[in-house]
Amino acid sequence: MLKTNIKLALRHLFKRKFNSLLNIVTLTLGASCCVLIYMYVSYQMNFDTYHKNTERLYRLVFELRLENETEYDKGSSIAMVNTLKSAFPLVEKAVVSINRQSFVIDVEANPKRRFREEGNISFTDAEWFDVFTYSWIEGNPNLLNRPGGVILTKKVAEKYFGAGSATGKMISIVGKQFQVAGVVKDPANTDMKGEMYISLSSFADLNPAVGKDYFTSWGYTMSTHDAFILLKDARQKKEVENKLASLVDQHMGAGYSRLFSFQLMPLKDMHFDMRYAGTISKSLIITLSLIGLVILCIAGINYINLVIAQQTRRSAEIGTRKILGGSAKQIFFQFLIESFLVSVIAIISSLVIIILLIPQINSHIFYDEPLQILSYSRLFLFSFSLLAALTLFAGAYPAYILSRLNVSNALKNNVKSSSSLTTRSLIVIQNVVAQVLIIGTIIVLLQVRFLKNTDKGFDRESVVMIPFEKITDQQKQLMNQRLKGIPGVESFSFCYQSPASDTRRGATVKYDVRAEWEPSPARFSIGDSAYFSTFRIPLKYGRTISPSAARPEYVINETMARSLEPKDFSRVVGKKLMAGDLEGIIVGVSGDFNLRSLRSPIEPVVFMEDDFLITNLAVKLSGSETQASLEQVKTVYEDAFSDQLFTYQFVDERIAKLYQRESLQQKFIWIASAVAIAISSMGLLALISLVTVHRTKEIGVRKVLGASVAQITILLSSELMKLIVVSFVIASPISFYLMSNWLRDFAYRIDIHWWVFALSGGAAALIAFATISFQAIKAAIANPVESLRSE
Amino acid sequence: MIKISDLQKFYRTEEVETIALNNLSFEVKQGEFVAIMGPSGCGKSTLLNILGLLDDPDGGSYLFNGIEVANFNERKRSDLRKHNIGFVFQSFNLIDELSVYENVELPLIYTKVKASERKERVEAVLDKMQIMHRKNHFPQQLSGGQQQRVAVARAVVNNPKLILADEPTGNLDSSNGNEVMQLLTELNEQGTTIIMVTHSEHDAKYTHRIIRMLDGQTVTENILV
Repeated sequence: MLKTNIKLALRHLFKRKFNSLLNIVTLTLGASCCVLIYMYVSYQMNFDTYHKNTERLYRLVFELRLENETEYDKGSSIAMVNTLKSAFPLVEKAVVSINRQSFVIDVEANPKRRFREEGNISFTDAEWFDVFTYSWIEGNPNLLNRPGGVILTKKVAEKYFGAGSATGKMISIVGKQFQVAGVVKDPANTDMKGEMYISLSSFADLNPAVGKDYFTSWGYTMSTHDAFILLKDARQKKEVENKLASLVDQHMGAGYSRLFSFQLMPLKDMHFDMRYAGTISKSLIITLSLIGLVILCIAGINYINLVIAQQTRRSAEIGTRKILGGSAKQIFFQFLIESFLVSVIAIISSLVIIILLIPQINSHIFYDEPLQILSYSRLFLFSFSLLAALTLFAGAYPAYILSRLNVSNALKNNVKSSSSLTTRSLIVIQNVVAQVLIIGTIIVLLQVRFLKNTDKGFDRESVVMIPFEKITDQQKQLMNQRLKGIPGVESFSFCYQSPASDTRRGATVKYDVRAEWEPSPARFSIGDSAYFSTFRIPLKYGRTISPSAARPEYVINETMARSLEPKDFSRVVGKKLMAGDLEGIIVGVSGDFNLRSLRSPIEPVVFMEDDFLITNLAVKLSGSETQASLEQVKTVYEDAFSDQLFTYQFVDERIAKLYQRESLQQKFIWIASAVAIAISSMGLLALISLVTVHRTKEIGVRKVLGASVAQITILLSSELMKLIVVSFVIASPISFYLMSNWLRDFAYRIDIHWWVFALSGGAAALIAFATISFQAIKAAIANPVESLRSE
Repeated sequence: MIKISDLQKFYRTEEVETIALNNLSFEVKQGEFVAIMGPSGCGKSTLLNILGLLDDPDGGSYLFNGIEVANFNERKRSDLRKHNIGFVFQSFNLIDELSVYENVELPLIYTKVKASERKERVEAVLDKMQIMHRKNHFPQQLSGGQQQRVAVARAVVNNPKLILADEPTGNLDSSNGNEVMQLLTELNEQGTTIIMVTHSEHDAKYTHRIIRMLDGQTVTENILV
């Protein structure tokens, strides 16, 4: 019986190649989209899950509770970690890593080579490798407990020394020698960005500006200090947090326990908690998974629709089988087997497509964050569940309907077909999904473009950022003189970061003679007096800071000035300001500009000069002959810094990186809507071809009675087109609601205009009509004699 | 073998009620060959559907081998059908995707006959119908007469006690038609009861008795033998 059923199913598939192909292609598209989303979601869900102690591991995070707002950040101080190690019996281990932005590395190989490492440097000790699980290729971490040791990941080791062993070899950082103590494999998916681990005890050596209390004071609580705690028992988290809270006043100063609240965040939440520098929110993961599920559903719905619509063609067969003794159960299984075969073909095709095309997909779409197959066995398991789901849900329903056809009706072909309510509702559901996704795609696209291209209060045009580690007065002077001589350089500024960056630096402020700290903290923007001209930030009152002022000078932005002096904000000029622990004078008020991403609103900003933090040269180029000007800047740079490596990045590109997350969402929703449109178009195509078959005789009669080709095309198309219109009416409010919610996360956002809906509705109608009309016209121009004879 | 009394069947649409069978009664004995004739719409096909347990009556009684089957549920009807009744249709109703052999084998699969026995029986019946050489062909590759012979083979492979034939020669030319009628006659001679709906007086002459129907009722019965 099973054999006969499989044989019969295969013959059916081959006999109606057009419909089978549509069925398979739509299911393949749906399944591929699902597999793609699954790969991304499972990649994200498996961050740092491979450490042997995951269940007992916590990251130190804190809340800074200010009067008007609460700031969340990860991090701690070296001193606090030491206290946790020594005075907390519940803590098994406590480790810290100081992350540093960038270093220039000289490799003492032959020939001598120079590299810049950015964002992947971590100062720590050997215990780090005890707490977290690494896979060692060679060496061991013991040398990290003394100054002068460094551990590399395989990628970096190969970059420096090629394929051979790296252990024992020397590199030089800021002129200081370090010995490679070992090499570890590159972890697949981890939020620990370290690729170069340097002895914690060498930190002060490489950062001479750091004072002694950096290591002994809790006051140095910074987000660049990544601290992790391994508890003896995961259930004792609360006790440890309580004890930490009780020590805050003693170590940080009286009253600080009201400001700072330190907490232990489970390691498994680290990747998802956006308040504490997480990478992706759980809600986005859920949204993506839902999109995958919805796509699978519409592919399934499409399949159900097609199978049911084909029932008139199959009803005689079903009737005959019943007469010959086939029970409803046997017929049910026969159709289920057909669905199973179609699903198997679709799932295998989608796996082949994904596995073969993943390099292309990555290089064209996911170049920022390539998709990876973490485990083939899990991928296959997932595909197997997809297969089961498709067979059971998309296969069982039509099989049930068909198996219960009344025998004598079935034999007489007297069965209601595609005009049935179910089929129509399914088409509407499918198109609602497609249209919601189209509208979503347009809105996300517009918002991402807006985020990437909008400068609030500054001008990014032709500004490049050139990093260095530190700069002396002499170097500054030399560069000042020579850069002014380059005709293609309009202006330049030594600064910390450009506007629209991910900086979080800031502190509470005390204004003028007021005794209390202001209720809101201020963000710090750091650079020299030319920062405003380089980024075209207008000054509203007063002047910019002067290069050689005796006491610190500040320029504050308009938002801050208005909050300090609501009646006349120009009055702030000349007043004292305590910014963090540094007292200075306000010399000017600048226009508002977005210091951070457009996700956050304009905040109060204090602009100041701080030599310790100045690590970038921002150069505004005139726009013509950019490359030649950059070459000249490079010569100046290399003359000034013998120990640095010239690299540059346009502010544009840096800003685009801020919105990587949104870009990724845009890509997924784009793919999903393309797939949804494709699936529903194929569904319409298959249905219209069935409708024309069912109505062949009617078409013939109408033509004999004098109907024109256009009239018949309209007659055949109008029923399905009405469904598209109904879908649009349902889809519009749903997408308006969903997208308004999505946009709410951005302080700066686009308005949702009516034309977005008009565009998507028009596009959906056009695509649908193009799909339908071909078949409809084909039926309409057919010879009526032929169509009448076929009855 | 078959006894129907006061059989009724109505068809209802939203506004009209049509009476298809109006208190119809007759009897068919084991081994009889009976023709049912009458103009289009007189209820012949409805009657055949009820006799074949494809449809249920709205009133009256239907005794099959002395058992009241008028109120059987779908499962019981299907069970009785597959073991006792074979069908031959005007449009053959062969399954296009199955070969000749597989079409004939299908009823045996549904009645759970073992594979080895199935082969024997299918081949025997194909032999008897003289279409053994076509066993691997598909229905579209056969002439109408051949297709109907396959359909007859399929109807008899389970050795049914009753064959219901609905205009079995309606789609055939006269020589093929005669062949099919010859086949049915032979089957009847071997003991199978046959009830055949037909428009053809010529075909009716092969039978023992003609029941003539009009407006859901029998009007005359002609005994031919």
